[in-house]
Amino acid sequence: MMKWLLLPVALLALGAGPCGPAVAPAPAPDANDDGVVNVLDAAFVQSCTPVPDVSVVPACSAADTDGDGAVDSADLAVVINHFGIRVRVAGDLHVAGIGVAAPFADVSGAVGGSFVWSAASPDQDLRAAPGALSWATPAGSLSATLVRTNAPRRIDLTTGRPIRGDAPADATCTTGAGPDCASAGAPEAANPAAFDALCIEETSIFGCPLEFYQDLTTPGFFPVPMTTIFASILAGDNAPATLGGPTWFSALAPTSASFDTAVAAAAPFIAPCATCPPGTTYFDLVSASFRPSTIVALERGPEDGPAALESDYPPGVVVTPGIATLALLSGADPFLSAAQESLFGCGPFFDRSCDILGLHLFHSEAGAVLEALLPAAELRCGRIDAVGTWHVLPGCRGSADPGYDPLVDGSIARVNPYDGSSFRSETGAASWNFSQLQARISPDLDPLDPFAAAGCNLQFPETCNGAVELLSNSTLTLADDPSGPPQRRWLWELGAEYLVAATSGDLAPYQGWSLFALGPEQPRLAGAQAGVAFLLQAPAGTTVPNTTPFLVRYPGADGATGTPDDPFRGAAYGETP
Amino acid sequence: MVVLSIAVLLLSEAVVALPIVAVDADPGMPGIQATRTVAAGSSFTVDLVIGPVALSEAISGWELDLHMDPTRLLATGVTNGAFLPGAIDLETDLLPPDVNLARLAVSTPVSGAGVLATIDLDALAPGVVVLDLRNVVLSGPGGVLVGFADLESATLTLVPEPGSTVLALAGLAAVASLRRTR
Repeated sequence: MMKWLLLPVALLALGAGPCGPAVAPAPAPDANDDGVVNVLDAAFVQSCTPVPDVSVVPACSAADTDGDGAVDSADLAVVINHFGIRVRVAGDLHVAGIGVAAPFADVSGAVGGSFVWSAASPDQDLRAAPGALSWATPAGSLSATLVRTNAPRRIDLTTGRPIRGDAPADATCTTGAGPDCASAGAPEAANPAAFDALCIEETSIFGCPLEFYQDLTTPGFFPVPMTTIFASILAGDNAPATLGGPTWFSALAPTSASFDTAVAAAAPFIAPCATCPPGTTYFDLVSASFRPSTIVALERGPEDGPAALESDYPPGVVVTPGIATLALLSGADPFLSAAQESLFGCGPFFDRSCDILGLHLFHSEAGAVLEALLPAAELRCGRIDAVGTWHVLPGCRGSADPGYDPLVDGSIARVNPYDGSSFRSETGAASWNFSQLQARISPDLDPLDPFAAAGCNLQFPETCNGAVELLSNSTLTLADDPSGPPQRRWLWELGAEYLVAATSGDLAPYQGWSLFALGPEQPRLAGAQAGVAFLLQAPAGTTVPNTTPFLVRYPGADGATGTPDDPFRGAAYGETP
Repeated sequence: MVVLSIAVLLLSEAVVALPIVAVDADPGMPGIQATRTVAAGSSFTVDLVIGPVALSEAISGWELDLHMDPTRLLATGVTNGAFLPGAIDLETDLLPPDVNLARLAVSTPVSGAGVLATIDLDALAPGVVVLDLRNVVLSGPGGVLVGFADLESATLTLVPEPGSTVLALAGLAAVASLRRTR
């Protein structure tokens, strides 16, 4: 009893008010309240220095960044100590999701609301310590609570092996067996839920090439899983000469009406060709233009892996004996090293054959997969070590890069088939092949004019929707991002995941949904200072009215929109002016 | 090659209302050099320059990022320029791939033209490198944002070390000589 009586006295003696212990206010270095601590804040504080009592000069109250009631050199020190942090992003919410498979390929929709996303406290960077997130529309509001933050996938800079998301900052993975090495089920730095939300149409290769494996192995269709075909294309469709030819496509069975039907059913993303003459087959569309002109055969090196075997296919997968072996001999496994394959999210480091189970975009390195589509000057596929040295990742290095090892990084004697320019690295050539695959099955490619002067052109795969949508799932971070390079990364490697905790009005249907704030990033809209890609994912079994703002419906199993089986999600793009 | 002279920038102050921030790739040459050829393995400097800053838009602080290919260039040091003499160091960060700098004037704001900072660089490997100015913010007194007209990057061509070229040629000559002897 005595202790309770004495407590208020003790707190008052320590400077506490009657309602509880005094807590020193967190420094507020963003003196001009524009969301970022920069030279403008420093100049503002300097212009108010000295002000012994800010209550006398209210215009300088925000310059009192340490909250002690005066503006002096200590306030400038607060700015300097927090220089470069971004404490808030806020602005308009644009309607996104116009390109359904890739909701952020076009974010120029009308403004439907506004957002505010702040750091956990005014002296922290929201990218390292995300805090409050809220949306508002003219008729509703939404606020969300933090679930987790996202970061780039972690890699051992010497071996290229993946590292657990919760491992210490100086963690290594030399042999794959250490406690810090990534393993199935271990926490990831990147956000698998954000990946799933973005790549909800798992068989689409427009926005998210994932695993082509299950749904595409159909009797009557290719007798070899599409996974294997695509991995072979990644390696340049490079069957050994001893097996009689450079392309196993030519060894496939002739096309037939049943083949077309099967393809249409199993691979709806290969769009029907409206301009093709009658009789044009899906086989024509898929196979006509890859070899010999558009993809690059990789070179087999001594450290490249063994080919997978037909017996490696899981039970139930229908393959044609012999043809499958030929495909696997020309696949990615025998033409890429373990470090190279890991950049595409598969291979021995992930205990996942690229040819049997396919690439996995979640585990891939954006800078490697996208290399052929990125501007030449853009830095990619690298990290900074603990002492500040830049490293190009193992498997990604070209001959001019420090640490280049042909056994790990492969041969660089490969050139662009159109202009003869050298690829920076062997994975650059693989990326080119991947971009050709993306372009070749892009719905805007005219198979009868694959080198159209306007529109999708195989020589310039970045002109094709497939590449545009793939790129839209990547992001470019802002300067001073606390997580450091890579600046180019997948969207699920940036930002944070939230749970929508409170709603009102027309945003009420989003109550309980996951809200992914994927940013801040370099803006996708001209004139903006920063952007944030927002994605809302519903819990299973959710129903929601069509009038909900930012709601996007996309084709369900029947391939059509407007039908009861349509799945849905929310998508918006936040723009900080 | 684009060559802009500080003198021209000064003379044109009355016409050009907003300043240009540029990378001078070769401070030893007159004017602002947008390109330079450097031997890999060597150390050299580039200047970050500004001008013309009108008196009515005088600068009391600046910040910028200089972006480069860290596989070919390594920033090793920074020296403050004469544009803001004795400026307060708000940020000096040489972590690749960017050099992040910010300075604040200690007294009165500055107009005219001059060098913001000199960057020490090591050329690591042959190749073409763009020194790209990014996230430039110019502050007037009281934290008022000052606009700029343009950002001028520079392009460096890093060529193999002369020594290594000589060695390679000598090696080739030796091989050729051996073949002739046999």
